Amino acid sequence: MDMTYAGAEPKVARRKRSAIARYAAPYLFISPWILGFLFFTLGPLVFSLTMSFYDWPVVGERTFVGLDNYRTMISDDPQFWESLWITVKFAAIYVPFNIIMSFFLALMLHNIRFASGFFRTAFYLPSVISGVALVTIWSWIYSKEYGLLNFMLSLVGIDGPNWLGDPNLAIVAIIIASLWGLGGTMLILLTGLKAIPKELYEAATVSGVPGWAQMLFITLPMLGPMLLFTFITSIISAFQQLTIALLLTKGGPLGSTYFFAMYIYDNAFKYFDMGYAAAGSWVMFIIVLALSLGVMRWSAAWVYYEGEVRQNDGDGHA
Amino acid sequence: MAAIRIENLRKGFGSLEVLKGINLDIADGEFVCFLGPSGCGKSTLLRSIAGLEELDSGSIRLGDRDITDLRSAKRDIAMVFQNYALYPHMNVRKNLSFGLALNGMKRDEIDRRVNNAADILRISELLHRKPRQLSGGQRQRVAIGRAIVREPKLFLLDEPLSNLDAGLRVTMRVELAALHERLGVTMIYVTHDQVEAMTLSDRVVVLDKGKVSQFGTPLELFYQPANLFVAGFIGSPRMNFVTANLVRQDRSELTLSGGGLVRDLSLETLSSTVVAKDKPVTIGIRPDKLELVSPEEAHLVGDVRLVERLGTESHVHIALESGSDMTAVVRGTHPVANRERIHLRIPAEHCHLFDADGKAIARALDPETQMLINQEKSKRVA
Repeated sequence: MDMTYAGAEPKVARRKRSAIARYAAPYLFISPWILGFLFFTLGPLVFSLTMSFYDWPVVGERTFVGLDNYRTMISDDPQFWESLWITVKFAAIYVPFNIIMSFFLALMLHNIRFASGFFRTAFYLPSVISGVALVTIWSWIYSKEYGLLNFMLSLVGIDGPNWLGDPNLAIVAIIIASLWGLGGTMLILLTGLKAIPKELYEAATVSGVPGWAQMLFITLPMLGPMLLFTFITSIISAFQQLTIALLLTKGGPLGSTYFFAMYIYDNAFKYFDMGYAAAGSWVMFIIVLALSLGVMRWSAAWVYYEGEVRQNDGDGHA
Repeated sequence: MAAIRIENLRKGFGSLEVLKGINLDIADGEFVCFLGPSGCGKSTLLRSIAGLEELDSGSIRLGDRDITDLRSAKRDIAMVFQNYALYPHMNVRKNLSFGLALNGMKRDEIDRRVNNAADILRISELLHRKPRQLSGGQRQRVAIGRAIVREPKLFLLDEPLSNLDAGLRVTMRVELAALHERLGVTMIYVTHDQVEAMTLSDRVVVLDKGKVSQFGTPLELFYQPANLFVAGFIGSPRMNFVTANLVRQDRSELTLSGGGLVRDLSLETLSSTVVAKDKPVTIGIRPDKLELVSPEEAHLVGDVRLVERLGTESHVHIALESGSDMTAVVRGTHPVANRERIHLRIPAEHCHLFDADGKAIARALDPETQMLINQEKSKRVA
């Protein structure tokens, strides 16, 4: 009897220890990521939110101002609205172009049989080039006197405009330069196209469904989740537009390419008003979040997921 | 009329020739199976008929129309795919009506056809469901329904039951046979499962390495295989083969000796058959026809390697003294055991004979079997 009791105690302790190990082991395995997330994502996030409620100069005393930064930005700062409007204009053109052009490029790469690997790499390459290198290339392309673009236009007898000096054209120039990096979006859509079973098209072909209808009623719905993903990531990257504008036009001419991200950047690193810049970042976050949620909600009407069962689909029993 | 005539059809992929001159005549309303091992070209042949593969040469006629160069949609055919190919984002009704609606058919007519197909296949209550909410059998019915609504002259079915479990396959097989009976439309069915081919078909096309090895009724293939390939492919367990030498031919009577035989075997061929004396012949015998006998009556001697007891019958795997392997089917309660020495007799009347090129040497069948084959043929003609 004693022996049984004496033997049971370490057994319980062992079980307890192994339960703790079982519980802790997964967290230990993901701890590098958790630490990175805490210090480099969540920490700065909370810090910037705190900053946004302060008058926070780089040098000098910090003062708690509550929602004043937000109030000033929305009611007393015309540059906030101007930069936001420029960003919205940019996003409204960039996002659809990015998705439509990526889609057609992906479609082309999906269908070509010759050198598809080469073209895939060629189209993807610009998206891995660093922003500064990309801007250097495009500043040369857009140069009024020595630019490649105007040189090519001159070959067909057109006197090329000052791309980066004209307030109406500068934003177009930035949109084109931004679209140069659509390789990532294209690759995602290409992967989606390759995952569509070819029998669906064959069944449609045998049934006499014309090519345009196959694209509209098979390809696009089957690509729905990928299109949604690229839609949201394109919106985010449009709102984050900074590098190209900062290096190519510095927000000019006449503030025509003064994006919202540049407005935040200037407040932080030109005027050293960190609290105000942090408030701007949070406004951008809320706008992007609202847009993403809106798109997600709208997507319920056109995005189909293989594993999803909607209420009007029936009871789901097979 | 929806008879199909295929003439000298050739199709290759790069340097690989998959179909090497196919000639077939399929009658109106016939149920024909393309049967063969993987890579024999059966699916390519079906897809060529469907217009999904471009031919290298040859022609295909459906009824009185040459459809060789017609687009798939214009061929008046419908196809059922192995993995169903249902549009996952559309419900069953939409899956059935999709092609019709885009071909400009009126709403009333589409509804009539969809409801009719749903009635035939008993899927009316599933019309609002998405494919992922259906079982394998239900999905297969919808795929067949999509073919029915087109009211085609020709149904093409590419291994439609291969994704189903064994029990459901049997049920769907029966349903397919009933559907063919009901619709009376020509159907071509690709399978590598000989049971499906034998049970469903009016006639079976056995394909081997891109060529038609034999085209005949199921019983013809079983009892009168045209060559070694068909003999070995049709029937389970597969036919046993023993090589031997022709030692004497006295009109229609042949005497075989040597090779795998321990005793001479005499058998009758059709009187017109002439067999080359200097070349070996192959004797084919179905496992259920082999007889376990005493040593003095035996044509073959070997050791039992394995006995598979299946209940009503047992499969006995034997290693012959000559080095080749053989399978015999005996009654389930037979006391035969592993490593036992075994003596087998080949009943001459059940033998198949093949020449050195693997072609069958014609032999008369017993009257009862011959009558059955004739009945099967006449049923097809009727």
